Amino acid sequence: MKRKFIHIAAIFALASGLSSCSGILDGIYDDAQPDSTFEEGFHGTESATFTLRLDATSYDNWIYINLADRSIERMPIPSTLTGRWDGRSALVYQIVEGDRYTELDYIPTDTQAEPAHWDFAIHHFDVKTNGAEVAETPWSDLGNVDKSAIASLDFKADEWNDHQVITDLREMMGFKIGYQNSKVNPALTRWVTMDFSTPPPVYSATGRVYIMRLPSGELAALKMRSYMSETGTKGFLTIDITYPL
Amino acid sequence: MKKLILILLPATFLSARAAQPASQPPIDIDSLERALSLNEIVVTGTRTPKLLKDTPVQTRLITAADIRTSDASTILDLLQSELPGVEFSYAMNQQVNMNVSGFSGQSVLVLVDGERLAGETMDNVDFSRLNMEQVARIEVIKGASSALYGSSAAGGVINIITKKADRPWALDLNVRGADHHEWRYGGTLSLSHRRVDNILSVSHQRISTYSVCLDPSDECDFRTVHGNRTWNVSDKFSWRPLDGLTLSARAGYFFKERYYNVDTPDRYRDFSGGLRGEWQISPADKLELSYTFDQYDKSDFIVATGKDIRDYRNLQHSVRTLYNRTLRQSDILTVGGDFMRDYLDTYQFHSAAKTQVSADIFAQYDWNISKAWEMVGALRYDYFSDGDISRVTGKLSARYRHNHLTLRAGYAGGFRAPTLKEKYMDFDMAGIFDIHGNPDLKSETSHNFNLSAEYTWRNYNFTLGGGYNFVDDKISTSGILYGETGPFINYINVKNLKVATAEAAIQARYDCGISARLSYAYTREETEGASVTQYCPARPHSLNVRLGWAHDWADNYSTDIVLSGRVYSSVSYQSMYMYEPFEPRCITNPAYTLWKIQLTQNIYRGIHLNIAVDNIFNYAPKVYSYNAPVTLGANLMVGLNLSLHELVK
Repeated sequence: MKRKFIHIAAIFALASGLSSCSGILDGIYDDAQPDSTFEEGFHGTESATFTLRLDATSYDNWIYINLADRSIERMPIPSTLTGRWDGRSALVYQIVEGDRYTELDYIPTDTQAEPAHWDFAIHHFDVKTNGAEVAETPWSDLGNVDKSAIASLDFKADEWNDHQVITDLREMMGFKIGYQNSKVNPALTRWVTMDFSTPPPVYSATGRVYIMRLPSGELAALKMRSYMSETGTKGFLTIDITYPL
Repeated sequence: MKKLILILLPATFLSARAAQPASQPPIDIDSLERALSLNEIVVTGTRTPKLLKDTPVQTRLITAADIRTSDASTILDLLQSELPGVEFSYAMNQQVNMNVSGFSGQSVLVLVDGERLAGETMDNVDFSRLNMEQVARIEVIKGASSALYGSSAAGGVINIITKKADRPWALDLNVRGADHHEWRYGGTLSLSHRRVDNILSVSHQRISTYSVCLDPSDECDFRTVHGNRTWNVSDKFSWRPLDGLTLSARAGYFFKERYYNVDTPDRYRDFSGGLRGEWQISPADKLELSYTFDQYDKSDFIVATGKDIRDYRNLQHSVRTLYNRTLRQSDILTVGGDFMRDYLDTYQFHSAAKTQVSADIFAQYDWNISKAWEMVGALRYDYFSDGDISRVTGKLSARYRHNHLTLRAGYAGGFRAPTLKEKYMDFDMAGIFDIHGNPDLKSETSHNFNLSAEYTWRNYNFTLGGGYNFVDDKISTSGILYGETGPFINYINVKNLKVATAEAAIQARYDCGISARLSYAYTREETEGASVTQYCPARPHSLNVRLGWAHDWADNYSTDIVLSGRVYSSVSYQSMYMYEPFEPRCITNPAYTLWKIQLTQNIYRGIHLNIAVDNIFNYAPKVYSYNAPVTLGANLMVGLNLSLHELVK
């Protein structure tokens, strides 16, 4: 009888010891590099297909890319008007209900500053180009690009848009969103969509290859490989690029 | 008008049956009580086994038969279809929020075999980890129960009692399919030999993502119902080394993947285990000792990298003891104590993981004064190390029975200590606003007064009851405030919440196989001061109807037909525009009703073929608010249950 109770006590003691104070089975999870170690810049540029990594988490600036120089430059989005208004640069606050936009405020601002030489620019997931045109392709891998089919693609130029380039999300819960009235490329901006019609946002990526036709006639192929960091933070972009194509 | 007809139909039906001639043979009360589940054993109200008809604490019981004929695939479906005043709605991020007669998930304690569950999202436990395969019955106590169960039981307790192996072997397999590629597969294998039992349950469930609110001009709280898949595995082993001594061990694994963002599906896992010893020392003395381990993890699976990154863990180690001594032949003294270590590591903290320990002792005396009178009183002392919080709660319940009438009355204290999340949260909500914890939060306290009458006459059982709850320092969240770093939400204490409830139910069963139940719940919430509604409030009126007919056509063939419905009234409440100037606005969520008809064919005892049509009146909400029913219209469900042990008999 006494021995059996010793066994019972031993089982409880053993079970208590099996589980640590901070949990078990940590090995089933992966380690992620912290966001602070994200290495922005061009990588693998020794070949025509290389990788561009960008920290585009901020909604406050455009990141301008020069493909030929492999250069990156940030320019803040202006929030005030300090000089003569160009007639269209503005921050626009809208109430967004489904696909309906009701304008609340229209705040004229300075013209968006740009570098002297650039090919395209990224703001979070939005893209604008320096006079280029972009087409979405049916391909999902840069290696599958069929150059003979490029001419038949539907290339689109940039358009002005007052409900795409988000600058102020602080009142997203009330569907009041601040936007920059800005040029965006309607084809390339589709590569990642952020649907906040029912917060928190739902993200989706097309996974497609996009062909950019520069004003010079040169072609570049771009594929968004990842729009988040290893920890899952959205806005850390990893873009595979073939240039020139 | 349609609703009125639907409500009156069952009542008329009952009246017609009641008007049958009195020349029928006398009713056997014992068999009637059995038929009405009144002789079922319940344990939650007093932590001692009692017949449902005898317990001084009003207990709602969902029996094995209710579960078998409900066609519910989840605990949520089951609770909503069986109990009025229970509603599940969405909170932000399409997380599930429970409302039980005005109390949300943070104030209603969900237990499995008396054990707490680790982990929460939007203040609710993960209901999908509750495996329907292993559920034997569910006991629900509405109103405070902190004198027996401690913190978080201010609004009630839902205790899920799991199955036990009760025959040499049994193997049940089931499959069920419905719209939106919803599939459920499950199986339970139980073995019992001499002094050893084992029961293993496995279930898998999945549903695809689908769209609702198809008109983009409609303002909806959600437009997509995000798909998911879950796995549940649990095993319970019991050994009786000595007469009167039972040792059991259990282990469980739960996995859910939810496709809110298809590139980063959310993953939820739970690992649980426990040991329990129950020793019937003598006919008058019983001692229980248990240890429980429960670890609930959340992670994001990054599809692009194939990495599974954990960002949340709640780990609870609990040791419990309970001693019952029977005195004066039928009085029962119960004393017990619990110790729990609670560890929380979450992406919502900027700081390191937090840990606190809690401990409690309690005593209860169940006084069987006479055949008519029974009283139960309890006192409990709880202590929480973080913030040095302590609290004494008490309860007193009385039951009086005279012939077929049973009256119950009671007072119960409730409280809820602030959680580690509520005290230390520091979370940037996607750059929109911050959510700040509040280390100075006070404990939420409540006082519940309840009264009920139950009358069993001929084939009928009538229940009428009500309760009043005074809740002070309710832990909630503020509206949006502005600080130096931008907009934020703070955890606060809200003064003087009052919740009044009333319930009425009629049920009847006949030897010819017909059964009927009509149950109604009324809830009224009042707040003073801060009145931001944290989640969807309770609908004032709700009604559940269930009509059944079971018939044996031949030795090897019988059918069960069940028509069930629930009717929810509209609810109006004040909320705030979430942008400047943050003015209050009135929101009204419309009334709705959902009805379901189910046919079960029982062939050779072991084959059960279910065909059900849910939402038979093809209701679809105009606006998919968080508490609108998640339906696009009628939904056909087909299921097959095989009891192999019955087939080979």
